Amino acid sequence: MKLLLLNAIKGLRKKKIQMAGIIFMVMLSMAVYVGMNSAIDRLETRYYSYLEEQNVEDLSIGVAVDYSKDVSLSDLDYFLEHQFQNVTEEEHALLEQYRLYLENPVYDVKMLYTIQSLFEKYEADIDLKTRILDSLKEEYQFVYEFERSKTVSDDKKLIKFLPYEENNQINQLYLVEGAFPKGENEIAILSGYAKKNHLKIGDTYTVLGENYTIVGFAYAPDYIYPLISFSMPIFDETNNNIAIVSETAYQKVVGVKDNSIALDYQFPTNRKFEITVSVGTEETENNSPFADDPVMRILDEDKVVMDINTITRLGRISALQMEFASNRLFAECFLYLLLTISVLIIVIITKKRIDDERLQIGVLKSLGYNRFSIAASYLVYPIVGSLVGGILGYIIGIIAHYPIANVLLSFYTVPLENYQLDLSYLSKAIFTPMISLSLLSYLIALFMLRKKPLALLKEGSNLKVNLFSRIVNKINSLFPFHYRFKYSLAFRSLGKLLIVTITSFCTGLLIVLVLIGSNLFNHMIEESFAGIDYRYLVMLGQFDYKDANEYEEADYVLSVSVPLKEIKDKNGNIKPIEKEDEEIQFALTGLDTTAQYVRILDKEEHNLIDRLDDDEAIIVNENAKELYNLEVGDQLHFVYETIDMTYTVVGFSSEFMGRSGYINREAMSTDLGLGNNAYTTIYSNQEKYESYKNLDAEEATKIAYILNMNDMRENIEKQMDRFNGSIYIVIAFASIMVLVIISVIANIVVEENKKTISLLKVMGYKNRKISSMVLNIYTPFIIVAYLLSIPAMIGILKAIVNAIVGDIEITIPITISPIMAGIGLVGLLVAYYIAIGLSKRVLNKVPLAVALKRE
Amino acid sequence: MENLIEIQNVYKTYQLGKVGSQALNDVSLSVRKGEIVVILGPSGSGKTTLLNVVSGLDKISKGKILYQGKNIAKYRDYKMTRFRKKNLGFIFQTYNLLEHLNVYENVLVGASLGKAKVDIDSIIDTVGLKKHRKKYMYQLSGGEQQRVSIARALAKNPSVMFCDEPTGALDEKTGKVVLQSLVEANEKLGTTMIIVTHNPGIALIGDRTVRMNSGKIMEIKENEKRMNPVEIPWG
Repeated sequence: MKLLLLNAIKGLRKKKIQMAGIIFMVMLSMAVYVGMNSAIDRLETRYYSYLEEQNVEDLSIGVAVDYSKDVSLSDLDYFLEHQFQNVTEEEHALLEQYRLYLENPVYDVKMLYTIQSLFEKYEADIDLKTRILDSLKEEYQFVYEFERSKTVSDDKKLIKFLPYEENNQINQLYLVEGAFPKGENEIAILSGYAKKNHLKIGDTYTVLGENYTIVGFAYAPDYIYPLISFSMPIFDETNNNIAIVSETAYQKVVGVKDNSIALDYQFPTNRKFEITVSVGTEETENNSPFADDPVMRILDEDKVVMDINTITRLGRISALQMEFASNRLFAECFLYLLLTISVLIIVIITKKRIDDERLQIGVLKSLGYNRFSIAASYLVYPIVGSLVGGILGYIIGIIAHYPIANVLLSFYTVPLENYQLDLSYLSKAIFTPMISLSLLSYLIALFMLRKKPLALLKEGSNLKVNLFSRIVNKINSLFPFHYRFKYSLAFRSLGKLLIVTITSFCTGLLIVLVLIGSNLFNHMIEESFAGIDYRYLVMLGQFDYKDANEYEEADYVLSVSVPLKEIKDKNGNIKPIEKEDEEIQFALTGLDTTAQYVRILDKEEHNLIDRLDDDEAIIVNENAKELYNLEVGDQLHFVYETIDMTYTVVGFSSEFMGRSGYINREAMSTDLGLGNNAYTTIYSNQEKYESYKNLDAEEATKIAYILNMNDMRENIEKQMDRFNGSIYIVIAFASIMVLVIISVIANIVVEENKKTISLLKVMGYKNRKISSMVLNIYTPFIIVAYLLSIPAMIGILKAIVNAIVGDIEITIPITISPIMAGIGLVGLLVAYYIAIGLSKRVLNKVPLAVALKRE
Repeated sequence: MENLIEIQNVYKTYQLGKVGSQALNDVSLSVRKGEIVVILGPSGSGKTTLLNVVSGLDKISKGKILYQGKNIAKYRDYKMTRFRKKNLGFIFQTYNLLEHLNVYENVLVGASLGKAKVDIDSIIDTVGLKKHRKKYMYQLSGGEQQRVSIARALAKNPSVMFCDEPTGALDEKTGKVVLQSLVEANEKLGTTMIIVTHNPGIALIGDRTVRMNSGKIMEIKENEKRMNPVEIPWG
């Protein structure tokens, strides 16, 4: 026993490369695991307590005022005396028209929408909404607050101004350092923005010519992910800021308003601010998806709707949860992938040692030692690998968690918990690999030691050719000698072949991960902006009307969200829609076929817009296609208010977010009862949309917001550079791992065939011939394993993405081009042959006579 | 008879840390074409080392090894490989056969190196293994395996065959059969044989016996005539 143990320890020195490979993989997997989880622990612990302490909203809602019913004549008179004091003549005429309507209602969609816009413009809707909410708050047990903000654009910087309200109960602001602003020229900003722009407390901060004194750094808890504008969807610490000012200062700020209502329940909701909509599991009387959910039940009220920005708002609060989930998942997957590879390598080492020591083992067994104790001596490999790799990995992980946490904090504004040493990670770092690697290698050693002592002692007992090999050799006999030699050698040991193939497969997974990841974000950006030829997206606050051909400088687009009620296939059969999908809005976009600034591209990049010549045609996006399992010819039935609309699917656009469809604008406008050629959005390249200052007053009042697509793309690409930076680090690590694994495989191949190589050399075979006959025998298997790893990794990534994004509707295009796949294969083979060559060089230093001796 | 091989003042030193071990100490020997030379000596005498350096499996520290006048001690790796391919055959104590190949294929490994087409079945027949043509090594006895090794070595028709303890792992009867095969190959094909052994009986089958001890040649003795391997004393 001692002998075997001593041999095993001596063997460690001989298997330097293989042991180094195991230690490296254990170390790396543990470093990533400990680093990621430690960083997330610090954020997560603090995150949930932060949400409670700052009383973050349970829900963000909008109130649907029905202007056909909810406004009385006396209400109108009141508003005319107060909010509508300074309306224009045109607006006054509209209000008079509305008065006539109230006296004698005849449903007029167009007029009612315009009235709605007018009420919202002059904030007359606040009183109406307050009245509605007050009537509901007792029954649903909530309190509410109106949330106000203004977005200001100053050069390339975007700033969200929030008024400081001391008595705010919901979404209470969090002071990081200094004080909240009291005076008119005082301001509190984000600490990250201050750092990036070299600002400190006491400095002057200028926005659009207005000077403020920085009195503090603060966070807004409903802006944990500070999405300020869709023009800059990825938070840019340097250019995006949240500025808290006094009420007086806030009133003076000129910017784009964004008002919403935050709701806080008076009973414990015990929610983690999920953005999924919970669905009742049984049929209830009112069949509402919210019937069983006390928090969402309020949405049953036809007055209360999910705020159209609710996903954004809750996304701002809960996006960090996705980081937790995704990073933990990544760390777990990485850990198990590397441990799997380590197990494979340990199996090879153990098998080799048992083969080499079979005589000694035979002697021990014949003396009476059982195979359990003999197998135990081989545990030295996994124990040493786990101990050394685990401790190193833990230390590296603890160090690495600081920069990981900082990277996360560059995207999120949330206080960070102080680091607390968690020894559970140390024990996990050591014992997880130790137990998994030891257990598996122990079981495998037991299996290998099953032979009887006499069989082990018999000379040549390891030379037996198994049945499978003999069958293969029979087939091989049809081929020239060169191939027979190679493949009979390859199939000689099925176990070894399997291990090399599986290890190559795992290596292929890593390579494919790197190739996909390196291009994923760039690919997503390209796909997202592929059909966009406009610089400005101008969203109106109301409907307007323009014939398609009236102006050539813009495209006019009608955008409405409606629920999808029914799907029928080509034969008229109903396709079922999941209950939870029934309430989810489908974004319909009406486009003219003459549109010049936008293209509807399919996966092959064909422009499908001409298909909208048909008034009943609809082009849906890829995400909707997958969700509803749609085909060309299917009929989609929408219900908007009391209006039924049915369209036939004619194609699929290559867009991966949300559920959307394109329809002919004129037809859609008519179908919605909006009259001819209504539009809500302008796509244009006109320079005047660069700033509100360039617009005339009439046009400016119609506009809800303007998105600058170039800024958006620039923002995304710039932030992607940061992601790409992280990706390059992952690529570097993965590449090192690939090289380590390949070196181990190559080393094993050379070592296992040392004698054969030496013998052929002695006989006079040239190096190239020997390489072809012996060292390259696994090449076809490596190629096949790599090719199999491509769809496997694509499947794994898609599953991971689906697990992370959950109900957020996004179909991320995870693909790899044939060229990239080819590059990966070439890289793998080049690395393999280089590793083989290097291993051979070590072998060449040993004299042939020594190499041929029995070990 | 002309000298095929000339070993001139050969030294071989193994460095073990700071200490050098002299495995060969000023060894000189010549081997004639078609000869059977038996190198005899106890364990550690340097006989295997001599065999290894003469056959190019190991490098010498000093001296010359001439094959038909050419000093192969200076050959680089690729040239030495080519030399072995064209001229040398090997038989080892541990056979060193390829267990994933059958008898026929093992011999084919050797035959593939020769330029001329070889009748492998005939060679297998020569060593008396016709019945075992399709068998794998684990299905053969030690003696049969060694005969496969001989067949493989002969398949490329080498001018010199190096045999390192060819009967070391065999019993008397089997050993004598193997020796018989070697002698027949020498007589039929004219292959020069250099046999290393510790068994003095084997020395009698050769033309000359070279006795070695402590890295030196102690004696070179010409045998009056070769003895039939079947008749030699064993051990």
